[in-house]
Amino acid sequence: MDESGSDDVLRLVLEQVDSHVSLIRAAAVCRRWRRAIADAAFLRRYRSLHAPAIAGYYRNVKGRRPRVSPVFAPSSPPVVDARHFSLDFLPGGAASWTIRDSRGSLLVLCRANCSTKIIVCEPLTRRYKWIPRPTDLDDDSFSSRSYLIDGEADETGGCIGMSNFRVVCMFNHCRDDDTRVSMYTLGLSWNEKKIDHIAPSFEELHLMGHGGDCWYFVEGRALIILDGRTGDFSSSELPPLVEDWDSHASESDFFITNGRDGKLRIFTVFDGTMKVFVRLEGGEWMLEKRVLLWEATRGVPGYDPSFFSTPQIVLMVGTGYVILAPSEDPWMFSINLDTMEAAPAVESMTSEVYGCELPWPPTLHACLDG
Amino acid sequence: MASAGSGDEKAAAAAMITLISSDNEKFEVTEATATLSQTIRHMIEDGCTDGGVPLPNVTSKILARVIEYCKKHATAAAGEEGSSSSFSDAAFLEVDRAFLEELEEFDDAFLEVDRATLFDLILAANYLDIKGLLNLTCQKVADSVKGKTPEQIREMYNIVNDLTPEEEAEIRRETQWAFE
Repeated sequence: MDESGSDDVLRLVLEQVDSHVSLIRAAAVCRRWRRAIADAAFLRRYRSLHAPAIAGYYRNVKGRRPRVSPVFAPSSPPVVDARHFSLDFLPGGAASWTIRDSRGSLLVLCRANCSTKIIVCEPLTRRYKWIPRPTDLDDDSFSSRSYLIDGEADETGGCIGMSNFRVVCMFNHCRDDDTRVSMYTLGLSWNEKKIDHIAPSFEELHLMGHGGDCWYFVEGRALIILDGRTGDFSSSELPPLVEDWDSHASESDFFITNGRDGKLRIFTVFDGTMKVFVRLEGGEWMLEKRVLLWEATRGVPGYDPSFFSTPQIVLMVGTGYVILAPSEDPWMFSINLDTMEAAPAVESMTSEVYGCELPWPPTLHACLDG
Repeated sequence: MASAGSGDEKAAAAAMITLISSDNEKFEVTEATATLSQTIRHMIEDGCTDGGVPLPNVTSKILARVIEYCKKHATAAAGEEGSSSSFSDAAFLEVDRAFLEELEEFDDAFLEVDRATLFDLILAANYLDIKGLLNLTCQKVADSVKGKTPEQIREMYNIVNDLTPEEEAEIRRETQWAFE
């Protein structure tokens, strides 16, 4: 391939190397290979052919101390040695930070004891950036949520990395319910966000969950969507998913997640019944499945019918499954949203997981001249 | 292929084309086989195939292999067309599946060649613009690179390392995590 192949053929071969790590190693073979791989057009095409590799997942885990700290578990089989995902390079060490969100190869974290101290980091390259506090933010404010948003796409097709990211933060005031939502753009500053006429304010925003690239919130009867690619909010009116919606339903009783088939689903748990609604092509919601929890869980070890005299609490919503527990008993179970079958669940399944991809574009700066 | 089966096309499918390798060997192939190559398809469309198609970049040894590939895959394409009109027929689907399996086996066996032949096939597939063959052969090389160190790749393909040890160290430092 050294002398016989044209650059065209070399590119054709390299773009079919379906491992991100192998591609980076191939870029260290010789100058010609390195130039071919570091080329922006090549990287853009490679990105369009190969989905980003998930290296593993972070979780905030309760430690010995009264607070939580981030823990990493590699994908199986491991893509990159797990020790490269240590967060020990963060100021004050990993244990003083709580992960709020992940996107691409980045994490956004806030200081465990001061939620307005926010940092964005790339674990694999051990880099971090402080997100400056909005200058006009009241001293009594705290940040309740932070989400990573794509930055502007670069010439290699990379939308999120240490040089192009945005962060949407929700700031609350200690004394009133006022929620302020602002977006920070790297290299620029904070911009206040608005929704639209259906949901004009961010008061009483309840997170329903996330699916695909979006986060979903509910406020009254409005479904509010934050798009992780644009950072924009939009809203639509939810249909009455349960009878006596206004008197019966509390916003915090609705959850949203992607099914394993990629379709968006809302589910509710009322009076021991779980209902799953699926969004159809036209955008309307249809009752897809319902299950009586006391019946479905009968085969789960430790089952006791008395667990169902109190409401069931949703502990965690994952892709295609949900973890529930009786509000007053130390027992938990999972429901598979495809089959509605129950299975035993354990504590470690109840913390949110934050996927971490390999950085894109890869750093290929050295030795490209001559 | 909505118009498949019209009299003209049937006549065209039976037409023969002569391909001439760089070492002047002549190969008679059906137009259906030859037109798997976009390059030859365009020549036929432009009406410049009388007296044979000279392929100065392809040796007879490689051309024979390329034709072997095209014959097999042209039959496969014809088979797909035939069954598409009776897709509801389970028997046809069964035949289709068996044929696809056979085609996969053929491809696997086809790739059992030495490295020099593999690269010659890539170059020929690129020059003749035969998408399927190009993908197949490039994928074979790409797979061989997977999981290898830069040194192993150089050895495998006799690539001269034109990076100094300092430069190599610098490259590794840039993405340390990919090398450990």
